[in-house]
Amino acid sequence: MDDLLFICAQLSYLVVAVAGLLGDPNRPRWLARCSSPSLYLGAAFHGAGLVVLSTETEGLPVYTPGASMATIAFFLVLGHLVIRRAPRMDVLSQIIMPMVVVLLALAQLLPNSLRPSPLPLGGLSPVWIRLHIAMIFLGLGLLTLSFLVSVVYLMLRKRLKEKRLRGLSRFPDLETLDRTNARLLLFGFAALSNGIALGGVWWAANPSSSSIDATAVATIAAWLWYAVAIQVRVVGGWRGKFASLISVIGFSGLAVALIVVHFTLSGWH
Amino acid sequence: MSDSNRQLVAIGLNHQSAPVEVRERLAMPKELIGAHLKTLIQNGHAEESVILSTCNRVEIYALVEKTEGGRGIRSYLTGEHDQASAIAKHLYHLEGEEAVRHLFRVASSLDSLVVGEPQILGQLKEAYDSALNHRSAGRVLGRVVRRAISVGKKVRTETAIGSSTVSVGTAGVDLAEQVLGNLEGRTGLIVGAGDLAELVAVSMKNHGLSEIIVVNRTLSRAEELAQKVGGVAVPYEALASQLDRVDVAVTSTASQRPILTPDILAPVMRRRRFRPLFLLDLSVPRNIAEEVNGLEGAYVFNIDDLQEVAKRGQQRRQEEALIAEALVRGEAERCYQSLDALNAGPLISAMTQRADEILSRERQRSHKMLSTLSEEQRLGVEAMNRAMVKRLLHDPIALARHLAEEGRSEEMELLGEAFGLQVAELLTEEAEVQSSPDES
Repeated sequence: MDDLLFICAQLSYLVVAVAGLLGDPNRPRWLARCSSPSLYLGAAFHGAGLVVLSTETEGLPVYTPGASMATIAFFLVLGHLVIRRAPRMDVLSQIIMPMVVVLLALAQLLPNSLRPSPLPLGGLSPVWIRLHIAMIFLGLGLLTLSFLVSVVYLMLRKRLKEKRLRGLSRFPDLETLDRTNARLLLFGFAALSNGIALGGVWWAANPSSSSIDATAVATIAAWLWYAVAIQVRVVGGWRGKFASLISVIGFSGLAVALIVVHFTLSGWH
Repeated sequence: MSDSNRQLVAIGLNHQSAPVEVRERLAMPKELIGAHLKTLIQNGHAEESVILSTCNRVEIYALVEKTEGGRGIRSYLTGEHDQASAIAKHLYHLEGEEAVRHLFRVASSLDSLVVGEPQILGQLKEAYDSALNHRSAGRVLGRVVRRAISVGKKVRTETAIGSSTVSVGTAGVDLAEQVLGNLEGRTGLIVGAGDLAELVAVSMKNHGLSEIIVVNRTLSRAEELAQKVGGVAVPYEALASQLDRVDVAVTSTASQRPILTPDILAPVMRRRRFRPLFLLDLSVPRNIAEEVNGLEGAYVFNIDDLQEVAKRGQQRRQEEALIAEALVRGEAERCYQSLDALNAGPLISAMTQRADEILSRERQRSHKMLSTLSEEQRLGVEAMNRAMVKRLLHDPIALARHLAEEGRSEEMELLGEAFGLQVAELLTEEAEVQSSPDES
């Protein structure tokens, strides 16, 4: 059932992705018109798929690689639905939607319906661990978006500096991108901080049954990087290229670390 | 048109057919348009007329006697001037479908000096309103102008004819907005007092720039420009400190060497913590050293960049104009053809009304007899009567449409008489209804 819903979501997102990639002069009018409803429809199917998956596995849809991909993709879509309200930010569909489609395809290829083995709670309510995971995933989704916005910012900045002005008016202005990036960074960092703090509480309650593994180390390293980035941005007032580079480097490092850790070392923590 | 005695004409001149010194002679001030419309109708030059007078065109659209062919309007336009023949050679005279197509092109801004400009649609609406107020726009012209306005809107929504930047002033705004986003609440700095700087500054001010600071070596010139653009003048020595706080800087001085170099701007950008600074250099030789563009946060553009943006916008509009031309051609053809069928409308509705009256009278006359029937039977009789009337009217209605299309007005009169109707009266009534101001 969840697979069918994910396929429906994927098809809807595919419409948005194709409409975005074709661009204004080339895409047929009907495609432009159905782009926005398709995005909402896709999000609805996607959300429903996650609920079904959650019910089937009796836990959050994050315990398997496939389910995690689907959940991160969902947070990406939710973030995109919020930021696309700014002028011309809709153009980000061109890179966000193909990424979401790929993540959902991976979600279906990788195993996604394993039941999680029960975690020791150490006297804590299971809500703690659920909140910890949800916050970490929300943070990762927002930081992924921040990474994508930063890439677009750097690309546009380069075009403006090199005075390659053709077709520039389809893109959002640098200021909007910079401001959006700052917000995503801030909210992503806040979610990640909460997630790590909740994980810390759980770890403190279960000192014997768990240790800080490579995934946790990678996440904490990324958190430190982003903490410095936000310090530089908010207190130092640095913005534009530097802020975007910090976001791109931070996310790339985090993504590489999580992939390496997951597939080669300890598996999912 | 169905009425073979009348035809639609468009007579006038525009920026393509006449130089400004001729156009200004014929230009009609807004407050006199009504008087001109009245004169045209009263003198019998036109049955219906609309005058469109803008800085780029003076045109009279009119419904005239075919035999007269709009000669009265031509002489009306040229007659009051001593150099009538000199003016006459600049006039164009379009008839029938060609006149409709011309009006549609005008409304779609395809005939404008700057293709795609939006003002013409408003000017045409005003011209039509004025004609309605003076009861000079009747059934035919009213229909054509209303259709032209909706085609003009359609062209703007279905093509990108008005979306590209075509002037240097707005190109500057577009580029600044691409870097800074909305200019509302931003501060601008003008260095120098060139005309182009003024043009761009005014354009930016219109797009929301809240404060404009003018710097010039001669303070009095700075004050003069500041007054024009609604800004404040500051001495030239304060230039570097002003750069710390502005978002946009436009340079336009006669200096032979760059006045803004990396040495000056690098510390400024550091103090600004790399907050974006949009720099527009409108001078030749350039006032801003090329290397400044390499500084983080500084975005330098020059006059060539603006012209490139404007040129590309013009090209884009030309491409869109080709699509718009095809759309306009089809619409004009359809509109002109619909004028043919239009005259049959009042006759057909009067014939139907007459038949309904007869049916109602006969129903009342047979009331007593019908009251003996059951409800079901009464409904059956009623349905049969209606079907008979419909069948009987079918052929006369088809004939009315056919005659209208062929423009055979005399035969239409005869057909009307067969139903006890006066076609000419019907058309006059319809024209009065159409030309009433409420219609708009």
